[in-house]
Amino acid sequence: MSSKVWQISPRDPVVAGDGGPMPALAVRMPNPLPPQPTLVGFVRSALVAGSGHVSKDDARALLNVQIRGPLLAAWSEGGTEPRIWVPATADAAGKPGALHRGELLKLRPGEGVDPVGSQLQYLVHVPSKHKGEKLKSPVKPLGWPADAPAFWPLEAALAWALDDLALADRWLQSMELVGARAPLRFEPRVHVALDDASGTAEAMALFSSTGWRYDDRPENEAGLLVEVNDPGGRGPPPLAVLGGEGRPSRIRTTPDGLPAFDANRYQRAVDVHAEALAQRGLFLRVQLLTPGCFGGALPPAVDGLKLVAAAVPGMQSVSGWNLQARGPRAVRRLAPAGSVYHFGPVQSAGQLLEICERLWLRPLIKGEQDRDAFLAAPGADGYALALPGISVYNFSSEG
Amino acid sequence: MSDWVLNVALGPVGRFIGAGRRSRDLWWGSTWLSECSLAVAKVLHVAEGLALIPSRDRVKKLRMRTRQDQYGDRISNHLLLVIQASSADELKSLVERAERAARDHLVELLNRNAQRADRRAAGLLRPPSLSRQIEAISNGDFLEFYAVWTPVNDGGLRKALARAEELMDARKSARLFVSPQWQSPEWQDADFRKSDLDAGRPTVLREARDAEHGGRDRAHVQGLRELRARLGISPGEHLDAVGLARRLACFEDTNGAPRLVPLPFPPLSRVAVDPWLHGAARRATKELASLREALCDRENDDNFSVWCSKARDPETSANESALFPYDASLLLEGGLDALQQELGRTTQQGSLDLVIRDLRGPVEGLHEAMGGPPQGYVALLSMDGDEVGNALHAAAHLGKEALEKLTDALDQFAERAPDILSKSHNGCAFYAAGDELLAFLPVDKALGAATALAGAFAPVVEMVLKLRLQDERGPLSVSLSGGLVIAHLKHDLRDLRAHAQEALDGAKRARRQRDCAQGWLEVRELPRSGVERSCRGPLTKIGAALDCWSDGIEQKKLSMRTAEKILDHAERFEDPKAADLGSLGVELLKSALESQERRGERAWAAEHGAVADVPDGDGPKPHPAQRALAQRVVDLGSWHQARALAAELQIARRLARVAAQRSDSGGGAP
Repeated sequence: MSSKVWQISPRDPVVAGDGGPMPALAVRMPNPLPPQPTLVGFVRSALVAGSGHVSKDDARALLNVQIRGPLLAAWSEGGTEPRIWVPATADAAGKPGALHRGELLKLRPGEGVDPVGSQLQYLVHVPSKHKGEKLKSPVKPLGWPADAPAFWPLEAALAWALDDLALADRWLQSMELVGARAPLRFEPRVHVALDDASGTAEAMALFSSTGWRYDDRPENEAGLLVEVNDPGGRGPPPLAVLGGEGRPSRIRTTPDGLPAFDANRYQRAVDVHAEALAQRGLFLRVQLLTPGCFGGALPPAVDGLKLVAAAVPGMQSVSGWNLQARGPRAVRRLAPAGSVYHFGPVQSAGQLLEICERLWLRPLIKGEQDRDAFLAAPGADGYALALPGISVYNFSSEG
Repeated sequence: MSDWVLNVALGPVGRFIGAGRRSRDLWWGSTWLSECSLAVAKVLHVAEGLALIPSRDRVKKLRMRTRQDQYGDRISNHLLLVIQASSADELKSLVERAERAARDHLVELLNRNAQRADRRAAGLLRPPSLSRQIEAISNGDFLEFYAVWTPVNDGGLRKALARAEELMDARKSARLFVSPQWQSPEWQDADFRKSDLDAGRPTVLREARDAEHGGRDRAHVQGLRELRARLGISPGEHLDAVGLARRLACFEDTNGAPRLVPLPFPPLSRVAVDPWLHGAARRATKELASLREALCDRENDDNFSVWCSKARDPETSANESALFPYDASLLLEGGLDALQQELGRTTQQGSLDLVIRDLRGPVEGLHEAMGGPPQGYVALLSMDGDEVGNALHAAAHLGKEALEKLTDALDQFAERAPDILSKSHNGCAFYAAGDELLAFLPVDKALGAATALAGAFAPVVEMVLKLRLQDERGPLSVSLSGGLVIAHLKHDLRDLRAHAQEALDGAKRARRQRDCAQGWLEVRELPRSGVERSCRGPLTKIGAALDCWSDGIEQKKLSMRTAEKILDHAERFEDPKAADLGSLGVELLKSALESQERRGERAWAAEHGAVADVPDGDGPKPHPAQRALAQRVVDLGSWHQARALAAELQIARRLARVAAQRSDSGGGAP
């Protein structure tokens, strides 16, 4: 397969709704990243742009294209390595400088939870209050726009995943200190409605649409990184429409791949917990960087490791349009990006490191292709990209 | 037998309440969430033990919705009990029965409305999709039910309550959901267009154009469009099973035809125009009576009830005589034209024209007598108790008796709040349970309502003081904080609710940061044009300040020049890196404002025909608003304070404009 990393730079605010009706007055779109079906449609359409009619066979062949992403990225002027931003983890609460990590919590004798909750062996206790004060979750880095959903620098998310809370906290605080800027901001635009019959503007019929403006200044140029594996070896066109309202995005391929797995870093993190690993084992912690399409909130076991705990902040719904069947696709309920799962325990450092390397920025599950519905396997569509890590159960909390 | 603390929460609050696009979505969503919570409470209250939230007495006294009186009491979707049980298994079985009761109640409501829909809107429905969605809800979809329990061990009740809270936090961090197998053959004929109210579920409605594809005739398609309009469903709107049921719940079965019964709540438009209607009752008595007569004549006309439903008046109960018991959209500027344009596409044009022709005269007559149509602004108030959870824990430390006393005080507040909002302040509480509430109010009554509610919260505050409750930080002080949003009627309800929640969070945060014993209020105005503005402060202080400015503006003693000058100076001189008192810009601003106070107000007042009461010279004494403003200008220490003052004045102008409509004279705030 030919693998290329696309750098997608929106030239205008990205309008990517959830398929619901647009209210007349500007309401913030919940997520600055395009929904996964929008991105997937963008990539596959771009591959066949300008090639005329797409037959059913062509459409089925496109299902073999594999996509990893999107990752929000920002390039500084002259810099080569972009800063990657990932959706904030669901198991952190508080604020930079006073972070609280969701700890695994086991029920004590006599305690219980409702039948749905009892599917999990442990609960993830993300505190909602500390010393009488409400804690916010998810946590935003200092300097991140108040009206934008929370993203963390990949470095902070990785430190958090490897149980180095102090380092993660320093990253979240240092964003402001080093003058790093958020790569996007919310931007409403006002339009005038057109009369259906005459095609002219209707007097006083104004409405707003909202989008996310990606920073396009040279010192902080923002965009999306997507790895595309196309068996046909095709490349992207220089310009394509991403999301609604015909807003164009520039596409370039970049020789650099997605961030690589740092084996030493993981080894050091496992070494820190060598004693716990030897005694009771460690858990594999997986944070989703893109939404998870599991047919429910919970993924199946990974490499024989049983799912024992989850922090899932709710449900994200996506649908899409089936161009071949010319009809709407069935709604898919997804575990949102930022959800966290714990599997295990694992008692071998080698096994843990091997799984982490294999999962690094790869889909947690592959899933099945549905050729009749022209739907690729969730893994090929970039769902449930994993940021692997470790978690340690604190047995002293059993009380 | 031993004691267990049982903590239960129901949801999804967002989908039940937050996703509403119309008043009736909000009303029925919150009503059903409360009723599901009550179904749970009834199962759990059978068990021996201490019911904390809601108390056993409260559940007994609840005035439930009936066929005759659809305006029932509400209870919280959070329940907290200390239950006696012989084993954890017994508790588990009790919890399972409670969840089943809630689910069965919701399914029964949905089935009842599905049957009605089948009779009223057969051509619009996709019955298989509807029944499968209801079946999915019965099997675990949509309704969220969280329950945790922990035994009361040697650590005592306080530790058990704290542990139960910890477990609930942990349980709620996994908001698990099921995903129906849409790809399975039984869903093959479904239309997968998303519901407009719940993106996670497909529509159960057919579009009119589907019938066209089926080769039906044009008249049939027109009939379906008209049916949508009669049911309050916009052309092209998609609704899931719950969304459809919420929309249809206010229809009754009459000879197979959809017939709107009087809405058990005041619609948003009625609440918004309340000040104008009260002004009309004084200043345009004859014209208002004439319009009411015309509306009364049309009450039994289906074409009329499609777009002007009879509804409960805000300050009266169902049986009392009402000032204007109708949806008031037709009174707004261009209201009749908008309705004609909106419905002309779907209803029989001839009959609609007749209705509008009959009403246009009385409506325009009333507008003329009142000097114009009403302003379409409405207030959404969201309030929540501060430190109440900590107070409950502290009371638990003292024992069951203390805990009962505190929960009784909370119950008293929950009982009184809806009446304070409706009878005294002409509003409507969509959600009022425990120490939190969400209500729509006329703009000019909203601050008074927030203050009155804070007053009604006093028994809780007194009980906390009497019990000398404290935590590790020292003595506890509970209070009631709020977020108040003022926006135009046409503003998206979902956005409005999000703003109210943000404002409430902001108020609570500010209270905590300042370690204040009193509740705080954040007020936001979202004008139709111009930028959002907000101000916040201790509830009584910010309320008094806004009242003072509003009174001054209404009395024509204050102009908006101060606000304009502040914003103008801020635009030119504000330096975010030097917001301290020594900033030259702030000094320039103060100088300019003081100079303006001395000269400008007199000229402005003279120009507007008011007595020029200025604080210098031998003239009459200055108005309290002028004195207060002069003092605020002297005290200005930063751009932040200056901007806050400008925002207060701008918001006060909105309050004054609305209040002027209620006054005898009609006012004329600038």
